[in-house]
Amino acid sequence: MSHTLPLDVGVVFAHCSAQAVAATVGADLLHIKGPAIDQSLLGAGGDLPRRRRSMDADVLVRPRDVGRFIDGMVSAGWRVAYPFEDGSPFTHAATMVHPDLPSVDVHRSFPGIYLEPREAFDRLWRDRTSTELGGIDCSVPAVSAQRLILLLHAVRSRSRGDIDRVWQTASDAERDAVSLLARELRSEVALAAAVGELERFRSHREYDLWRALRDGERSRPRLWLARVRAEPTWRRRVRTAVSLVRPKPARLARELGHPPTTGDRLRATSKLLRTAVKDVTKGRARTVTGRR
Amino acid sequence: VSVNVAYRRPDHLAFVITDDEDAPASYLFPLPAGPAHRLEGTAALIWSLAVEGESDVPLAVAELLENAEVSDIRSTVEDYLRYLLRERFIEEIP
Repeated sequence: MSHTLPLDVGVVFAHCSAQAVAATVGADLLHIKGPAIDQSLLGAGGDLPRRRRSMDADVLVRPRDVGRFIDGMVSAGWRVAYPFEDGSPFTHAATMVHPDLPSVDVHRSFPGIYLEPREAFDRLWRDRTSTELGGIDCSVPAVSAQRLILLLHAVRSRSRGDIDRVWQTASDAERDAVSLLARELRSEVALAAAVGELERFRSHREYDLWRALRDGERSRPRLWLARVRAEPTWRRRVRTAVSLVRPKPARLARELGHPPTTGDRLRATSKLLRTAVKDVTKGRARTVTGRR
Repeated sequence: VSVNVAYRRPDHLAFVITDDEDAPASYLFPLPAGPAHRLEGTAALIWSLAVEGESDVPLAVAELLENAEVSDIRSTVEDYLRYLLRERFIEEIP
């Protein structure tokens, strides 16, 4: 990124570039987080509300449009640094980079929302509104949806301040709107993790995962298990289980400095599993120690 | 470039004006691929006045820069407007 371009400005231009590409290729795009957040969610007090500082631009793309959107971004000088399967364990976002701008995280779904991504996008798109970023009109989710997205993200990033700002200061009506939307998007468990009501959902399959995320669980196998359990179907559980123990090719290539060979991948998988086993062993030791 | 021609920002141009008191600047980014450009000081002022639709930009600049005579700066400002037009950072309102 250029040294003379302030990060805040670069993030805005990254949103604008994504919006221009979406318009060109006919992709539906919602700008989320960072400078796309509604002013009303940025905090109260005597200071003028400032756009939330962000390191990158986040966009949510209609799932059926993701392929052509990414192709369009590539035509505009962007490059896929991390494909979906190499991103977070949720495999929800691909990271695209540009020589002069901060990166863009292209989301095809949002962690914590368990409604099918196509239906979830439809629901968010239906109530969309718009904001101006860098002089360009950009579609954003409705304010209640922005509030929900910030809360779900805050659980994973353990941002207590975000939760306080967008939930504790919300009116009853605003909270009701978020809760209603969370039910529609099947994100009640993740929302409950954010707002301190997770114990109401002990019997839900997503409970373990969101408790682990809320508590900052560091044991890899525990997180793996919780992620697999949280998936709604066997097919998705198997796919998640495989993806979690498979080393990420793009990350591996970056570490190695060359495209990974079969041997490299096997060694990386073994290393991941050894780390997991070590974590389990440590966990057992802690348990034994605790019982003394 | 002529008097009584109004300009506007082209649709393809994103911009951010920073309000840093030490170094106010206008950043311009031709969509979708850039590159970004930074206009500082008087350059940023001329661009801003132009895209705000001032019909006589040199006069508006002279009024804002106290102690400046429009006759002294007109040709310089018009040269810069020509540069902005050439780079497609502004366009004439038809």
